Amino acid sequence: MSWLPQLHLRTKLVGSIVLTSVIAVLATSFAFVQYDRNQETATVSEDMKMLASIIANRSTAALIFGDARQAESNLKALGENPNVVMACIYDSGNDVFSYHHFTHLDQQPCPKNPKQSALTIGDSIEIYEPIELDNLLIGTLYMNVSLDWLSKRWREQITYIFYVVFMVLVAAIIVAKYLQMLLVRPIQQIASTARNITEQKDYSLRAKKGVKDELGDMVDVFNTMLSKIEEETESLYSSEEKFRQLSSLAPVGIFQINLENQITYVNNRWVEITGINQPLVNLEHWLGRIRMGDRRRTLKAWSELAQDHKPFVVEVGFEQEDNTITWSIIEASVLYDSKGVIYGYMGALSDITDLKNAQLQMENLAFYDPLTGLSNRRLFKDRLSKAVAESKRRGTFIALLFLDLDQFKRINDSLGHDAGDQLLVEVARRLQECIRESDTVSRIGGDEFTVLLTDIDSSHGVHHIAEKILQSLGKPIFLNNQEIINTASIGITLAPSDGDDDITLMRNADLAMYQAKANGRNNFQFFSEEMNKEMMGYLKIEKDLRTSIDSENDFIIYYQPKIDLINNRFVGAEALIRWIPDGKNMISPDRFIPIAEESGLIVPIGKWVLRKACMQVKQLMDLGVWPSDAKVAVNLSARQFSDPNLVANIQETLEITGCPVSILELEITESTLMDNVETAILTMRQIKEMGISIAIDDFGTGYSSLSYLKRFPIDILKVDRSFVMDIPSDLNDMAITAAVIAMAHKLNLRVVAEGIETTEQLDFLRSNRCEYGQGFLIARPMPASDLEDYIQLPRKVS
Amino acid sequence: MAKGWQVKWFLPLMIVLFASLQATVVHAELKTHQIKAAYLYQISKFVFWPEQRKQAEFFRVCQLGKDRYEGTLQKMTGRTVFNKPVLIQNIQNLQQASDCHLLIISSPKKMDKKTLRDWLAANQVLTVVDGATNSNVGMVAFVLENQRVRLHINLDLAEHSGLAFAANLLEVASHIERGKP
Repeated sequence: MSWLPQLHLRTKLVGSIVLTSVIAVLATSFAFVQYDRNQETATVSEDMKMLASIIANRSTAALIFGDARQAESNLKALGENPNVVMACIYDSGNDVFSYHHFTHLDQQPCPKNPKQSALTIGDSIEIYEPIELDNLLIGTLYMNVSLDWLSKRWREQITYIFYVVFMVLVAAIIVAKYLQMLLVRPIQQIASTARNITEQKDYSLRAKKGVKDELGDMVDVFNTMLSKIEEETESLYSSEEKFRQLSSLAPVGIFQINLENQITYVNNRWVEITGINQPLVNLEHWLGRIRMGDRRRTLKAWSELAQDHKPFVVEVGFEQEDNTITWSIIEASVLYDSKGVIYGYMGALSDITDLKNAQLQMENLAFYDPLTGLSNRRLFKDRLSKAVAESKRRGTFIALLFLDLDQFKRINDSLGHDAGDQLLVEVARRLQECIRESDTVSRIGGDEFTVLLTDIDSSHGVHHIAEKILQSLGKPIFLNNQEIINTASIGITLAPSDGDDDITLMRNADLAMYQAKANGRNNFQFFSEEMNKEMMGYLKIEKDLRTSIDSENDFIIYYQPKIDLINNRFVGAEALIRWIPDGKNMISPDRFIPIAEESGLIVPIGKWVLRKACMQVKQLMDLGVWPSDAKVAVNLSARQFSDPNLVANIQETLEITGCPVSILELEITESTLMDNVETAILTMRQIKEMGISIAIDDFGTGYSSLSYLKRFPIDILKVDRSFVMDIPSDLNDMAITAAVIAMAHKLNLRVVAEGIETTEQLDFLRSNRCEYGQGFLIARPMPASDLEDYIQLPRKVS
Repeated sequence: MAKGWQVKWFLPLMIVLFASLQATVVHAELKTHQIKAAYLYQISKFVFWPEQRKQAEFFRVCQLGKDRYEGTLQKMTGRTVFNKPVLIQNIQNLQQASDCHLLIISSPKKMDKKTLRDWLAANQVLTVVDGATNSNVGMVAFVLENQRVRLHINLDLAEHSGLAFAANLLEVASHIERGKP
């Protein structure tokens, strides 16, 4: 029956009406014919039975008195009914007594062995009627009644039914055609309108309403729907046009990809960035142009997007035809249709080549010593912390060797800086010869080197390497045609036996190196815990800190002013803590902050600083001294930053002190943020939402990925003092500082330079359009009381 | 075929044939009486008897004169007509016949027709005779036609006596005598 739904509606309509009518007529007729047949048969049977009974009765005497002639004459009376074929009378011994045939053709003998009493209806009606006298059976009458007339009647009825069916058929076709016209025409109207709309894309067309019945209503509904579609189409068109314009004006490349990984839409900017101009390339072709280093990561992110619908942001480099690399950030997420079913992906592509180049250049400058090519202090510290983590994880030992050349200053002074540089290069070369490839040699300061040995078996191995180094460095070097003998002192510390963090290890190695110097130089010393405790007084400091936190009187805040480098205007101050334990001299923050950080005391101290700074600034504001747009910058330590109550604490502090949110700026070090980027972003967003500015402190010493940096809701970058310090003597640091400023500007961030001590530095920063600065040249850190005077001091615009 | 066989079987076969021929004649005579006796019993069923006649204790079959049925009538004994047992009686005169239902008149020729007719007007008795010529005395007469026992019916006499016959019986009668209209 699968053909049925494919038929035209009109065929189905006409067909069903005709079929129903014909079936109805046929069924009724045949039921009637059958009823008639049954009724007729019953009537005839009844009549014949009665007739048989009469004849049987009449035949008693003939039978009794053996009058066969009379019996036959009785039987002849049955001839009145033309359907009686034959009749027989049997005597009590079941012998034929008399019979009569009413037809001349096909005469049959009387049946043998007559039944006593029966009526059977088959091709003919056969009746056996007992002949009784005084309740005694004296014989049987047999009658055979033909039913041929019934068949004839039936044939006549069929013919009649045929005529009726024919007439009904004609009538049904006429009615059906009329109905078809009535029903199908409005539907055809709708269909042809819909077809015209599809072909001409003209949604203003409407179907004509010819009737006022339900079909007329349907036409109305259809037309209303068309109006709605017309409206929707127009709004869709304008929305799409808006999107198209936005997309073509957007500074980022926009792309849409379908589930078959074909790129179905790109804007002009995408073509510009990718350099792919052919339309409708597929995803593989596009991603195939990603440089090898980024490809696997991108494909993984893409497969996670496809499988888990996880949006992603990846930083990738595209290989261009001229072998240059275009750096981009690809962001993509899935597209849902109105039913919530995914039908493709959409994403944006940002060109970050300039930023990335600046970052790469900066990284290179930032992490390697340009003179010796060795990793510098920053990279070394990173490698050290990684090595410490790795050793903890794998349960192996590492050794840190701290080297200081014994006579470097003298050589430098006497033979000049060039000779000094040559010496350093040669020392670096010899050090690298002494170690395995997996070990790291770094130059962390003027004549200070470190050697990081990973995966060592015993202190004996380290002992051997240290001796080898001393021996190698002790060989003569020719500088300016002079043979020079240079020696070094080495401090050695082992992890995890001596300590399990980079700061402790560095301190230990430094300590051991001083011990080696004290022991007459040109030797190495292993660190011992006693040395450490004695020098650091670690526990003592921690104890004193706890006492001071309780009393709160031993801490004071110094404010180091920040100015606008263009007009020298006071723009804020960094709050710096100072600690003067009761009855003692001031202890340097470099000394106690690490201890406070390590012991967790930094959290209450930080809270105190925030509260105190807010209180004091509020006072200055109330006095009308503090400019409304100036900000007080408070440092947030890593511990504080990861404190889940941070935001609540800040809020509470602001409420208690009555200090407006807008004047607060929180400084967070880059390394703090990089510990757990996603959490850091969340925390920063919360802080930012409160209206507090965020500055990244010591920028350049961590490894901020540009993609992260873009996502950090920050306002200010603070260039680390270590870069500024060496301006103008160190060209590399100058380049880094310039790159950082340029990059910050690209990211719409403002820059604060720390540690400005000379006018050269100030000039350099100004020429690179660094917005703000702080440092001894501008003002030393000062207590709140002095700050009041400082702000009110007239400053000339340089 | 052996000659001895013919001699051996011929005589006995002839004897049997002759004997059987003799027997057939005797048998035919007997059978006619039996049929008549049977008919007598059956005829009584095709007669509409007046109600008071049905009140009798027996259905009396009386034979006036000598028994012409050679005792076959006795076979009716033990049967019933309108649920009354049949009783066979021999009587000598008409006066004895007033209780009878069925009266067989053995010698119809001797019966005075006038007397009988008057007697019948007072007594509802069905008279039966033998021979077609005696039908003025018997309401039912047994007549031999073509070797078969047939009935002649005197309807007039029956009506005179107040008896009526069923149409069935009349149909099988080969002759019906009707009264003048």
